[in-house]
Order: sequence, then C-alpha cells, then structure tokens
Amino acid sequence: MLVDYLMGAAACAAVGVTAIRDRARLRHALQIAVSTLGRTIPALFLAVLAAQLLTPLIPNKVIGGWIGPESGMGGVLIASAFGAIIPGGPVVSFPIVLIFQAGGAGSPQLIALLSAWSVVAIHRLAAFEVPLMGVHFALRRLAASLVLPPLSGLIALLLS
Amino acid sequence: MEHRPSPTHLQRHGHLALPVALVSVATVLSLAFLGPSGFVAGLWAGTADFASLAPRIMAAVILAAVMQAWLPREGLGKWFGEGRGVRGLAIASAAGAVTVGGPFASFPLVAALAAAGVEAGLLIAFLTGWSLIGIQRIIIWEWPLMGSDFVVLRLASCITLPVLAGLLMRRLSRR
Repeated sequence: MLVDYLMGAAACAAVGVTAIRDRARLRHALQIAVSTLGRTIPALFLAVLAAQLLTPLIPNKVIGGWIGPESGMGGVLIASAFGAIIPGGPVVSFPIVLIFQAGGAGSPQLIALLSAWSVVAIHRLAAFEVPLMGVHFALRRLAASLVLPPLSGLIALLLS
Repeated sequence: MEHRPSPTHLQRHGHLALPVALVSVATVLSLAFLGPSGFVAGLWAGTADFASLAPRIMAAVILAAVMQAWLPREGLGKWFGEGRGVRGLAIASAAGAVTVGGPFASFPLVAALAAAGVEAGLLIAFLTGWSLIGIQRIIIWEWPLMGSDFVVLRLASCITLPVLAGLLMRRLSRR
C-alpha cells in the first residue's frame, strides 16, 4: 500500500519536474503515455479477464500441491521448468501467474516461473535471438542462464 | 465506403491477437464447465479486478512514459567500454534494465554491439538485465497485477543474477 502511494507520488513528481525543466519533453512523454495506454489497457484488461475466467476451473489442490508455499525447492524446480516453456509476452505469462497465485502457488515458486519465462523465452529465442545472434551465441546464453530461475526461487525461499 | 484494415491497423492491434485468443479459450471453457452464470460471474470478477487496478495502471503508465522521455535513445553503447571486471557487468545489467521496448528494440542493439566487438559476457549481462529486471515490465505489468510485496521480493531475488549470468558466460567463452 505504501509503495502504491510512493509510485503515485513519483509519477506526479516526474510530471512536475519535467513540466518545469523541459516542456517539449513533457509533450513527448504525454504522447508516449497515450500510446502506451492505448496498447496496454486492452492487453491488461484481457489478461485479468482470462485469469478470472480460468481461475475457478483450475483445481486448487493441484497447483498448491505442485508449486504451493510448502513445495519448497522441488516446487521451484517444477515452476522453473514450466516457466521455460511459456511462449509469448506478458499478456500470456501474467494471466498464468495470476491463475496460479489464486490457485495457491507460493511466491518463490512464482518468482522462479517468471524468471524462467524471462530468461529462456522460447518465442524470443526462435524469432529474434537465433536469427540475429546465431545458434552458437543463443546456446551459450541458454547454458549461462539455465541456473538463474532455480537460483532466483532459492533466494526468494531464503528471503521469505 | 468499404472498411478495409490497413497494415498499420494490423500492426497496431496485432499484439492483441494472443490475449484475444486466450480470452476466447477461457470463455469456451468457462461456459462449458460452469455454464452461463459461472461465465457472467467470471466476467464481473475480471471487470471489477481491472477497475480496482486502474489507478495503479495510470500511475504506472505516466511514470514509465516520463522515464522513457528522459532516457537517452542512443548512446547506450558507450556504457560498454567499462572494462572486464564485475563493474562492467553491473553497468551492462543496469543498461539492460532501463532499456525500454520489446525484442524489436533490444536485439538489434545487441547485434550491433556484438558486431562492434563487445565481449559476450557484457552482452549476456545486458540481455539478462533487460529480460529479468526490465523496469518497464515491472512498472506496467508486475506492480499493478502482483502488488508491491511480490515485486520487492522478486527484485531482491533477481537483482544480482544478470551479473552472475555474465560471469558464467565468460567462463563458457574461455573454453
């Protein structure tokens, strides 16, 4: 809750400072904000809607059992493996995370899932990384990154 | 006059294809398993949920937009001359975290840096910083949808990992 107010205050301060220092930049920022709103509002709404429609269909016991707060490091590993095969951007991953959260998943497990989705990102690998950087680079990056999702879950387990 | 979707129209709304498909599947499943009343309940829950998120989303979008307007568009490349130590990796990670835009924005940049001879560890640190702790995604998606406690825990768990990935990459490259 405190962070919510801080973020609101930060947004107001950012607009205020920009208005005083650089009017042209403020206009630019407002243009970015409007176009971002146009792109983001429908995507966020659909993501939340999909999550709310699917949540009652997912049996809580299944999710809680596999990746619940009690599942520990085993749950972190399962969540990492699942996150690695989620294709697409945040409009796909966040509804899944919301559904899992409502179904009783633990935060460290969800963190591992999001980490795996972020660093492995099979859609990005196929569409951008291999064509632009080459197979060799992509494989080496994967090798250097595979340990990160379980590690992020482990650190979250230790912190929480 | 006949309305025909122009390419720009498709480009503007193409990113919604996946979420629309997702909601369509959710609608069919919801109607099949829970019936019309269950579907309407889900519809209301989704709308109420979204309405409660609206203030956070507005603040998030404004903050992200002002940030984007102040960040340098070019010149990220000069951040990559900072030597081979952990410091260079940390700077590359931070540069990745503040790089806005999807893979359309980041990968051409990384390809250009690679062509300019920037070492692989720095490139991995940049890419991991961008994908794992990208500020824009945190502000616009994670904070409104997951709340601040989750964001703080995830950041604390992930903040050192891009540097670690860079170090691992250097190990791999030496062989």
